[in-house]
Amino acid sequence: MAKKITGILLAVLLVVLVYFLNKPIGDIPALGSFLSPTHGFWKSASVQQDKSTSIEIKCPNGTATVVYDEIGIPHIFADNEEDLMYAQGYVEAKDRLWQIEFQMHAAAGRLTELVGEKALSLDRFSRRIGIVRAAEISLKEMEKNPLSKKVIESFTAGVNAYINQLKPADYPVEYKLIGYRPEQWSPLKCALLMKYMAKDLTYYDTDVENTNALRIFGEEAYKKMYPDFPAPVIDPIIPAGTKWDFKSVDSFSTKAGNVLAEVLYKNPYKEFYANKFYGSNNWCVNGSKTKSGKPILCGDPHLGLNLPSIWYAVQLSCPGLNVEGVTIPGAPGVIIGHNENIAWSVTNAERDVVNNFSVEYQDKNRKAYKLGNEYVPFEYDVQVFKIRGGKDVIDSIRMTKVGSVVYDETFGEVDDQKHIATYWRAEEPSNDLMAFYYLNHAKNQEDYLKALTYYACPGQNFIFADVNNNISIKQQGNFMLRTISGDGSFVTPLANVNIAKLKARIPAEQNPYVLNPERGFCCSANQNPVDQTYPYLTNGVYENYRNRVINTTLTKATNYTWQDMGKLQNNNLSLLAKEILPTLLANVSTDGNADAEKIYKVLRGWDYNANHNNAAPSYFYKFWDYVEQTTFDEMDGTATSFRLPEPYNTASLIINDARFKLFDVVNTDTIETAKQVIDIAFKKTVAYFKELAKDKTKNAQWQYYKSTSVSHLARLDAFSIKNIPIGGYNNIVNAASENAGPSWRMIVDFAEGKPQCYGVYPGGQSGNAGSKGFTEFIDKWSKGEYYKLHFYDSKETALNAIKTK
Amino acid sequence: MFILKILIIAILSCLLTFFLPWYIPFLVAFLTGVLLSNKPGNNFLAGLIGIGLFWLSYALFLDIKNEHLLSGKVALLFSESLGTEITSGVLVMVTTFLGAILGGLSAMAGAMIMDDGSRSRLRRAVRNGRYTLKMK
Repeated sequence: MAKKITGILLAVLLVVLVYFLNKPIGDIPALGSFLSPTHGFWKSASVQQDKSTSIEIKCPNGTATVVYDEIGIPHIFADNEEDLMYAQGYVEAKDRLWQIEFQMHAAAGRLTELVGEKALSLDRFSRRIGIVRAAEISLKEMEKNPLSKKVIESFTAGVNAYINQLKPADYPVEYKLIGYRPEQWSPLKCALLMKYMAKDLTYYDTDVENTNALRIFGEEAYKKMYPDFPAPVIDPIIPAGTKWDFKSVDSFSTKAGNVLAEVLYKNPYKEFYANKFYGSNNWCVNGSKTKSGKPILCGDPHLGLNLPSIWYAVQLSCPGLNVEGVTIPGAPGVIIGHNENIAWSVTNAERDVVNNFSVEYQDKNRKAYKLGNEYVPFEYDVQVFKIRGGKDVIDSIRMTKVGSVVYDETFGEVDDQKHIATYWRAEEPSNDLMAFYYLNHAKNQEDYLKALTYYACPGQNFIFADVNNNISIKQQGNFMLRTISGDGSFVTPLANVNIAKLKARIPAEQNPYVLNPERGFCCSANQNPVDQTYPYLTNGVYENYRNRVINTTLTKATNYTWQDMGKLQNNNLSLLAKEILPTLLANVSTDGNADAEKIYKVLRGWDYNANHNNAAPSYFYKFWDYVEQTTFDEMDGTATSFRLPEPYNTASLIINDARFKLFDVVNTDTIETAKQVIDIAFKKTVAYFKELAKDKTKNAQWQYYKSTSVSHLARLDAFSIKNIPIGGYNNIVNAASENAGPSWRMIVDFAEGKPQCYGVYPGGQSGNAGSKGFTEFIDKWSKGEYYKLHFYDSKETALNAIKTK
Repeated sequence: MFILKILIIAILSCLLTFFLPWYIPFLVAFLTGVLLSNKPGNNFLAGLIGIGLFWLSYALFLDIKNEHLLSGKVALLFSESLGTEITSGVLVMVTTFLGAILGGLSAMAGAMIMDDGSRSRLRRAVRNGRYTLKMK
């Protein structure tokens, strides 16, 4: 009997043990189910990537055939568009399910459900700035249009069809690690992903930093540090001197523009803003520049370097449509690519579409805010956060007529006069999905322009080329109508806002645009879109190096082939170094110090190419960092937020204005000029590398010093690739920095009459960390090589192609 | 009988586990105890070997097919959080050990519950000559 009782006790104990082994505890996965070969991570490893094979998908109206080529790119063939979108949803879920859901969780401010309390600030930020509100508005617009409604619903049904047939044992490994299961997909989630991109590309706002700089350094210095048009040269997207053949609408200021908020700010959550180094290049040339006499179009969007990759390559084909390119998993259609007639790519417009306002409350209860001469009661956007391993958190967000109060006593914990309400243009209604839908179908330049009329946010430079040798670029978006310098660049009192003027937009047909420019090419690289003759203000944070390298190259280009374009996309020339390093070196003294001599000599002999296997770029960029730090030491400290001027403007000050007041070093009695700053910076650089040489684990070579990494989305180091041997950097055409860079390189060559696409991205088609396809393309990407992509004209050709392999 | 029990545990677990939750092998082991055995020690070993072998061979099979790609990454992940180096091989061993020990204990618990004393009664009966074992 005692044995029996022991047996029962043991059984109970085992049930309890299994119960706990089935539950994740803290960050530890549910060890039992995770280690089980039949259900755990071992099983996730068994899901093999589809390559050189085909599958059939049962769709609402028929069957779609998916032909996976030798690098895992699906070529989807269906009998109609509804089935095609359904199959695309299915295939994207099949190859990238965890990524799609995880990005959606980030967009929706729901990361706390997966990782607990530690994501709460980020989640609150996402919901406070209004990603969810913007997605809901956008969904309404999509549902109003029967076509976009159909696209998004078919796509959603496809994603869900995959999820519903998926057994828990076959979930991607991340689900098992974190311990959750996929949810049903929905059209709102597609909208959330698109607004997440809008956040990533437009929410780099500088109002707080600008306001502080203007108040502390004064207007004269401010204009030198952050000019609307940097002197002496800008090389805008629309060639300087292009005539604007429209009558500008009545322009007016928002009036609030130049009345600054009366305080100095610290931006409490600057780290949640968009990455400043997200940008892109695109260019195209017509036949006058190429060997074939036909156009070539190139694009390389610079985004976060993550695994699984932000991009997923796909060909979509049905009667009336045949398009190929990349899409963001979770979105229907192709975002960047080509069809039989046209090719297109996008770069970020960098225009300012976020405005911040200081809130004035009626009284201590903070129930009403001042707008004009009256007090308006707040409305509230009540958001509930489910916390893994904790109780729900409720955030009651104050809503004004311009937008939400982002920073207040509960978020950012700023004092009353620093509460900031934000207007973000992504919250205006638009049906951007249709722009891509029509671009996918476009046959010519008119179709391209018509497609762009649907596009609003995030503002992009759409570059275009077609089989008939037309080239074009248009900066499209819903941009603010501003004319007075500084308007919209500062934190201003909410009380002064005129809402109609705040929301006024530049008519879409008056956005910067050029067709077949005389110079034979179009190009954009996040520079100012226009010169000073454009009738509207185009304030933003612009780049001024990549554009000039590309334009100089293309101006001289003759007889170019796609390989020449590949070289240009991988160009490592640091124009910043080329322009500023001679001045820097002329102002340093080595004092016979051997270490200093060595670095000086290396820099002296450098050809300004930031190649991965060279130490010179490491020396230069460290030197440059110290020059910036020493110059702008006034910005040190934590109580006030500033931003460094763009390198181009700092370099101009060094060369042209060596006595500019910020060159003075704060904690000395003497007055320093650029010359002393440079010498101080050089000595610090020498000391830094002397120290680095002592550490055997460190290496001064550019590859290791810069350390370009492609990181797993959940920041699991074990699933990431570090220290990739790739050159380039910020402000270089090959924009591979630490964690952002060319996230997709594409060249579309029309040489053969029909478009041939070459492409590569730092990742792989498979989203399965246990598959070789997860990181397959990184090697070619780092070497500047490309895959020749297949663009099949029919299902039969595609099926034959994999048979003969 | 011992070998048969091992085979029953391994094969039934293998068949059922692909449709049912990950812990179903332990229920199988438990039930073999309840239905087939009243020898806790013997059954412990059967469960240990049956499930241990099943998990070991299946984990190895998947891991070799995957060229240790994912197990290498997971091992690295555990190494980072534990601060000590773990390899794919260690993961295979831990997996096998976990399956084996849970399998053994489940099988033993089943046998213990079913041990209604019949074995001791039997032994007494044989000793007292009330019962003669027929050898075949």
